Amino acid sequence: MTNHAQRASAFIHQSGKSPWHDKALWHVRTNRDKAMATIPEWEQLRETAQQIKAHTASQLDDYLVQFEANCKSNGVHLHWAQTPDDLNKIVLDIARAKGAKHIVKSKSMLTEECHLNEALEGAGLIVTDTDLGERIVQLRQEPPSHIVLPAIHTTKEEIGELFHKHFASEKGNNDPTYLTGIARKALRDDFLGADIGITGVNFAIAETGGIVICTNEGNADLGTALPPVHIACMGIEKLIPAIEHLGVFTRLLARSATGQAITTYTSHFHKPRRGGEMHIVMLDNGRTALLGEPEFRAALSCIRCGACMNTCPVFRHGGGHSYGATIPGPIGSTLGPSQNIKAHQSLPFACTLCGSCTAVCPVNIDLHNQLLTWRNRIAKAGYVPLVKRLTMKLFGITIASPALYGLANCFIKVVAKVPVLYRNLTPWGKQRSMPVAAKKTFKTMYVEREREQLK
Amino acid sequence: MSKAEIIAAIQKNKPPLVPLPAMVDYGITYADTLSQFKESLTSIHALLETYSSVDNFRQTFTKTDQANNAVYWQMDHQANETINMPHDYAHLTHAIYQGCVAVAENGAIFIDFTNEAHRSPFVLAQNLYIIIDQKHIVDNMHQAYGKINHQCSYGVFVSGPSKTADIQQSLVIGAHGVRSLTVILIDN
Repeated sequence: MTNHAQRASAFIHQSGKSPWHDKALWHVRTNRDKAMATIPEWEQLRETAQQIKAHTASQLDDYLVQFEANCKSNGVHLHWAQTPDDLNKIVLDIARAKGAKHIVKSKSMLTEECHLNEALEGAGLIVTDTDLGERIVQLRQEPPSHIVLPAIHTTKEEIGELFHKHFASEKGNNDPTYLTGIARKALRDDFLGADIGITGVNFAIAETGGIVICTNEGNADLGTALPPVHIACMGIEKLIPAIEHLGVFTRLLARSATGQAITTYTSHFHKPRRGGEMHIVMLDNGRTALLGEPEFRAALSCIRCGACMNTCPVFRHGGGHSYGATIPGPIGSTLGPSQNIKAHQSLPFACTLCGSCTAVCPVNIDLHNQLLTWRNRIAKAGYVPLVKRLTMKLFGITIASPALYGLANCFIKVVAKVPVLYRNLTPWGKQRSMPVAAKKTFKTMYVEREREQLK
Repeated sequence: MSKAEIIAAIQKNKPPLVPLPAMVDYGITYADTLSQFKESLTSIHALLETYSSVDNFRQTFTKTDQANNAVYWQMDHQANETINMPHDYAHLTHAIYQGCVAVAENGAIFIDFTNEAHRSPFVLAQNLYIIIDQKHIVDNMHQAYGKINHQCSYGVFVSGPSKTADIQQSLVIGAHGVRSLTVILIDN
């Protein structure tokens, strides 16, 4: 199995997409900065958001019970799922009970986490992802590479080719407006013919039993206004206490995500559509375990805006697929190991600890600190490769002994003079040249200075 | 039973109680709320027309309305109740709604669907019109959430026509929902 660095290397050196991927995401980050600058109380909003989430987590059991009671009185069916298999089974059972054939789905990273599409398709159902980016990656038979911009790794030429194959669009016409029109037309028929609409959830309100879904395309609204059954899938961490708290989160979410002041559609659902049925499935899948980790539990506050990805130099250059995790980027690099430390052990090590993710996070998650803490945990768990382990051990011994340290200094001076050696000894040296070593070490200068003063 | 297990795990793992912050009113306010609202509408690609009354708008609209247009008026409750299926609105050209509250900081307008027979005209129509009284414009989202119906069966803050930038970051207006949004401002 390849690790994160190897997969990122393939994106950078083979796909040729890295420079524009970097540029596109940096542009989104710049838009975020502009949007933030229009709100003088931005830092206060972030702090309040962080506190609301921390409070909710500290009383999550009560809020979930309150949410369930209010859903019931709204006529909404609530289901609890411990594992992805539980969630998939609940959804499949509803689909079977309704005799459903065709499902339209709007964006939900949680259903990606559960591989819900595969489970439903395996049972003979047709599932159509309706967010344009999600539809593109679904047709390409790959997962989204970014949580807000699922197809950010694809070019319009690739999409033109893809739509020509699937929707018989004009060959060679790669105009984004034309291609979006083609998708709009095709998906209209899917919306009108669907038996069930599945959505994710951005926020769930304990006080009223309602859920909020944010989109720009309007696909969640179409997907719930037409089919008679709406199934919303959410992690238990999506709860907030009351509707007034939405004022804080709706002001932060879109500005952080794309630089918009608010998403085009911010939709509040409390009851099923007339003559319809509404279900909410709540998933644990490791979230309650994460709640018990003081160093990592803040990651449960994430509102999935993607700002940490857009700003991260590693993500921008290496692409989202290189992470090999449902949620990529800085937040994914801390969530990944918490789900499966062995499978995602290489993620926290890609971080440069620049701290940019922490600086842009709308709910103040201490992302780079978490990644550093994960390195410690992963090393203790014995997942660090032998060479790295031995090197670090040697480094530890060397800096603890003045004699060995002096010897190492001489060695570094030699390496600096032979660039070939530096390039081949460490991957870090591949694209970097060694700085010129000072003629005299600090120690030599210090001793000389002491001697001068004695004279 | 998943519920009992999830609740038990939370009780075992949750941190000591963290206090809930008080919701003090620190949201941005504008010297000229109306002109900020208009500026926000431009940035979200919405159009703006001003009328002295809803009747005045309806008369003008009906006069220029073309025979082949299929128009949905939210205010025509009785007529709307006679429509059976939400799918029957598939060929709407225009949908006209009444907004409850408008927000200057982002141009969003809240529509409450609690008393509607169907939710679909709002997203199936090609063009959306939202009528909003100038008196119902607030500065920010905190104020807006203080004014909306907290129990709405379905309610949406709409800001502009539907859009996407999923194809190589090029902004395209008219993704799945409406292709245009015109805000009808009642200034009397």
